[in-house]
Amino acid sequence: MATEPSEVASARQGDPTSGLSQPASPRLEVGAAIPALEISAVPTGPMKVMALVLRDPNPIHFDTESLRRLDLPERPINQGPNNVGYVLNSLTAWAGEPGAVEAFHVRFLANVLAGDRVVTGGQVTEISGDGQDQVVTCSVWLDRGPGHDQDRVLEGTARVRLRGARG
Amino acid sequence: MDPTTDGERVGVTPFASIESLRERLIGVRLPVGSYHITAHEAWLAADATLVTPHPEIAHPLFAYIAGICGMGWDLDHLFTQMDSSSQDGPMFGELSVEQQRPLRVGETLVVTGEVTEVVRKQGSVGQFDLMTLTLGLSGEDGEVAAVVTNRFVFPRWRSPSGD
Repeated sequence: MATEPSEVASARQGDPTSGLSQPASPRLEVGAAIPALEISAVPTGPMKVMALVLRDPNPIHFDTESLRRLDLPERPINQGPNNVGYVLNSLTAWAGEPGAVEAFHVRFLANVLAGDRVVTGGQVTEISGDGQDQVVTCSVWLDRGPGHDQDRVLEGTARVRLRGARG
Repeated sequence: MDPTTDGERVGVTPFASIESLRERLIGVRLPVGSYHITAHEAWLAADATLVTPHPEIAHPLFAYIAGICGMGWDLDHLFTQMDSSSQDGPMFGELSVEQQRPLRVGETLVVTGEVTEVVRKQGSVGQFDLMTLTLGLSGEDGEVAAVVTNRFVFPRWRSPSGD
């Protein structure tokens, strides 16, 4: 993408891979929240890109005419991996290192359509030591929609390695 | 892999009994495949998740991408093995990734795969089958870099055809 859509600016804040920002030091205690990333309106352009990368021919991700023929809302459906990607990005931003996420498991519960607002979430559930590193297990999720209409799109767990002693 | 059909079109492909599917598929190993993480695809995939790409470390989604794109079956073939097709609305149910190390931009991974479970369940809207596919990614040194477990959902809104 040559131009960054304004609606994703919040998702890119605190991006540890840019080298331009300082990630916040993770607060290390069970129950601590993983800082949320919000996408106020999921854009369609990245769905088209991901369809190519995944070699996914399913037109529901890019062709609104096909959605109309299927009697589905004429808003492209985001790929599940993109939804997972938002959650992984929140963990990477929190950890401050692009290779910090060691493992994750997610269940897909609902679709995200173009224009939907989504917000990542997470909470520390376990902390263990591994030499100088700390290994943190988290519950993670992605919610869709504002306020009372909010529902869960995916949920699961992740394991993140924090390099060096912290906390 | 997302639902593409309405209720009337789901279940167009005749499907076998769960006993037959299990006997046919559990333990089947996929042909060995490979996946090369190109710099431009690493950049594009990370950007598609709305994060600034890293030049050397692939986005953690690449374990999934390398597995699904590099495995020895394409998705249409996988669906056929389960007596299904994209017209039947198979869905992506669960994803697990266990990485031994971060994947690197520019590396080539060998992808092995095995069908590890097939079960039939009853949901609120009808019957469905779950297929678990476990993929192994090995680096150029032969060491396992990641294990990816995908669970696909196959709606079975009508009775099996028998064998």
